[in-house]
Amino acid sequence: MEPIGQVRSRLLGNASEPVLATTVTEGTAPLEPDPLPPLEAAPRIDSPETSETDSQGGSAASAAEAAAAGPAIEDPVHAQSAPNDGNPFGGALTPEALVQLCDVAMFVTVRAACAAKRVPWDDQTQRLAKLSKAERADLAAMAPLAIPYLSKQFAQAPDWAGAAMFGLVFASTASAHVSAATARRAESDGSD
Amino acid sequence: MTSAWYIGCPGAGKTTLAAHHLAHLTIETKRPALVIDSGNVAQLAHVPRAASVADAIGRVWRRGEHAALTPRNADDVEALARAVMAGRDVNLLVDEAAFWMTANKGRDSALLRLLRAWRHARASVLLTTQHLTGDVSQAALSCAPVLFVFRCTSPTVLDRLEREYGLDRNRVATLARGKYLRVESGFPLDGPDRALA
Repeated sequence: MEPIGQVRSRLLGNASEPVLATTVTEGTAPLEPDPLPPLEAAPRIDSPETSETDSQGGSAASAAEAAAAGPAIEDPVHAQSAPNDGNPFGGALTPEALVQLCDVAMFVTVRAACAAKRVPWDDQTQRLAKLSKAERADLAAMAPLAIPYLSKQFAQAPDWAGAAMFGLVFASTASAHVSAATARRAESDGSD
Repeated sequence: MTSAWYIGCPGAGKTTLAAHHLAHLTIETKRPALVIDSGNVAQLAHVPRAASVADAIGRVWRRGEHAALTPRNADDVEALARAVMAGRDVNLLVDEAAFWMTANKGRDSALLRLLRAWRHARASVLLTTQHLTGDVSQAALSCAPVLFVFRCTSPTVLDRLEREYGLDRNRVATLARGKYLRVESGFPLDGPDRALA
C-alpha cells in the first residue's frame, strides 16, 4: 500500500505551496559543529538591546523558575487563554474535539479532491478519509498550521480548499453544539 | 521557531549536525541555547555547563547565556521543559530525547507537550535519537518537524521510516557516515529557521 505521506503529496501535488507534501533531500553533516556565538552575539533576553522581551526578561526568568519548581503548567496549545496565533478556533477546542474536527475536515477535503477529479475515489483515498486514531491525532496537531494555509488556498483553489474550510467550520460548530448540549445535560442532571 | 529530529545510529553524525544547526539558529535568532546533554558527549562539550536546573535557568533567562546540563534524572528534563514553555525565547537541543520519553512513559510529559507547543513558547526544539520506536509517540512527531535521517539499522526504526515517511529502508540503512536524508513535511522553512535548510 502506498505510504500515507505519498498519498498526501499526490492529493495536494498541484498546490502552489507544498504544505502537507513530504520532500526528501540529501545532505552531509559537517565534521564538527560551528561554535555557539559569543555572548555579545546573543544578548541577554532582558537587555535594553532586545525589543520584544525588554520588560519581560525578569518575569520570563521568574516564570521559568516557577514552572521548573512547580507542577506542570497548563498546556498552552489547548489552554482556554492561549493566544490563537491566527487560528480562528483559538484554544477553545478540547483535544478530542480538535481530533474530530480534523477527521471531518480530512474526509471533506479528500471527497472534495475526488469530486474535483484530482484523484479517484479508490482504496487509497478511502483509506485517507478513514484515518487511524494516531493519524487523526497527527492531523489535529497540524490544524493550527493547516487553517491559515487553507485560508490562503481558498482564493486560488476554492474547490477543495473551500470544502475543507467548510468542513472545519462545520465540525467546529458541531462540536461546540455538542459541548453545550453536554454541559446543559450535566447541569440538568445536577439539578435533579 | 522550528522543531527537528535527528535520527541515526551512533557515530552517524546526528548530534554534530544538531549542534551545528543550534549554533546557526542562535546566531539567527540572537537567543540563548539550552542543551540537555543526556550523555555528556564531546560534540556538546563547548557549551558552558550548568550545575543544576536552577543554574541553567539562571544562565539562560536571567543572564542571557548559553547553558548545557546533563540531567540527573527524568525530573530534571521535565523541569527544563516546563521552564522552556514558561520562559520562552530559547533554542533547545535535547540529545538522546527518546531516552527521556521512555523514562517519562505514561506520565503527562512536559517534554511531549513542549513538542506540541514550541511555537507558542517561541522556542526552537532540536532533538536527537538513536531510536525512533514506540516511545517516540505520534504526538512527538505531529507538529510537522523536519527530520534529518542518518544511517539507521534497527528493523523497527526502518519499518517506521518506511511506513510513515515513505523512505526506502535500503537507502537509509546504507547511508555513509555523515550523510543524511532531510525530510520536510510542514511549511517550507523561512526566516531564522532557514538555519536548518
